[in-house]
Amino acid sequence: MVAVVTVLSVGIVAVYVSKALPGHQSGATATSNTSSGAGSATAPAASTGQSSLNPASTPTQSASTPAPVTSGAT
Amino acid sequence: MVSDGPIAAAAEILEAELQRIDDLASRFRPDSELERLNAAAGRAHPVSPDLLEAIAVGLEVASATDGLVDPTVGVAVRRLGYDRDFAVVRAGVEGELPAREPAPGWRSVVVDSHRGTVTIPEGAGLDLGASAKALASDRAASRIHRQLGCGVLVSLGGDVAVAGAPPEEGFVVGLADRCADPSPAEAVSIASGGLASSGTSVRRWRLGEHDVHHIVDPRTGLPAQEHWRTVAVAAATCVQANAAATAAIILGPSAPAWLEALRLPARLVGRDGRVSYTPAWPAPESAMSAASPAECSA
Repeated sequence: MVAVVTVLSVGIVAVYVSKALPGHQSGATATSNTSSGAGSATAPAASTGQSSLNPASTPTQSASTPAPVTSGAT
Repeated sequence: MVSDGPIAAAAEILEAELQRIDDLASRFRPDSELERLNAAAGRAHPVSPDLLEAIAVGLEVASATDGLVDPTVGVAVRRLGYDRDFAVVRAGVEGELPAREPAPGWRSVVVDSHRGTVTIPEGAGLDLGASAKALASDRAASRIHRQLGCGVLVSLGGDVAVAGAPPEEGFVVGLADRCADPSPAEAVSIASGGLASSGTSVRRWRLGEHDVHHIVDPRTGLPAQEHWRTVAVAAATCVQANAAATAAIILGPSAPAWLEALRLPARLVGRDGRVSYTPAWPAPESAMSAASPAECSA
């Protein structure tokens, strides 16, 4: 089941917990890196000349379920 | 069944990330770290590791888009009157359309990661609007997944990032041309990475006698020519999706070929409302009838 909540009127967060609950990792240390590794404080990607735009690892699928919206507001 | 626990904890993490990015990169707060850097243009200025990361991402976006999405448009954006919260700007601002003047260019920004300093050219200003919010989405999704161990979708004003194990059908996202559109024409699901839209129809205002919007072409310092009304792109991260969508708006007619060469799924809506797709975009299933539009920042 997916639970959704709006945060500070501009953010939406939805969480999904599968039936087989994954291990709770509340002790994990948050890092300042994004999951993409896009940019870091010690090695700005701009200096590497290797920046690129890549597709997601899983294909985008068509869907018809009610959903949050991306609208080009940004 | 999801208890209040995970969603409440996720909301708390997202709220902290929103506050963090506002403290770092807001153009509308003189006390933000970015504005203090802009005030120090012309000399090396010490910045925090967090701002250094945000600037590095902005420069990476510029590199990946061949300079089409360039953080050195800060002064150009201000010349267009977008120097305060959009809620104020949308009512219109006094002034004339400025003369064509290219942005200084992202290569003029000097990042010294060892000293922890950034130097921007005298008279220039950075605007991380094209990457900071998407970066916040990526960061928040990643942190929530790591800390709570659940699948998560984060949307900040339409900049969507997902992390962790998705629902079987993926995370479904509606695509609307306008903010809070009650009936988005289409929906797609994503299981990883990010999905973002850029457009010219929401953040626009009157500058004197001229109608302008917020996507600035760094080659001219003026609002990009409006060939596309909205472009939505899915990519490996929200930062990349937003970069590609914004670059496509600026590229105009050649955007589909550019996006196709990158194998990025994209949906492009022309000024006349005609919709185009790149081959990687999934075939539309059916129109959505009862979408739940998200709040957005426009």
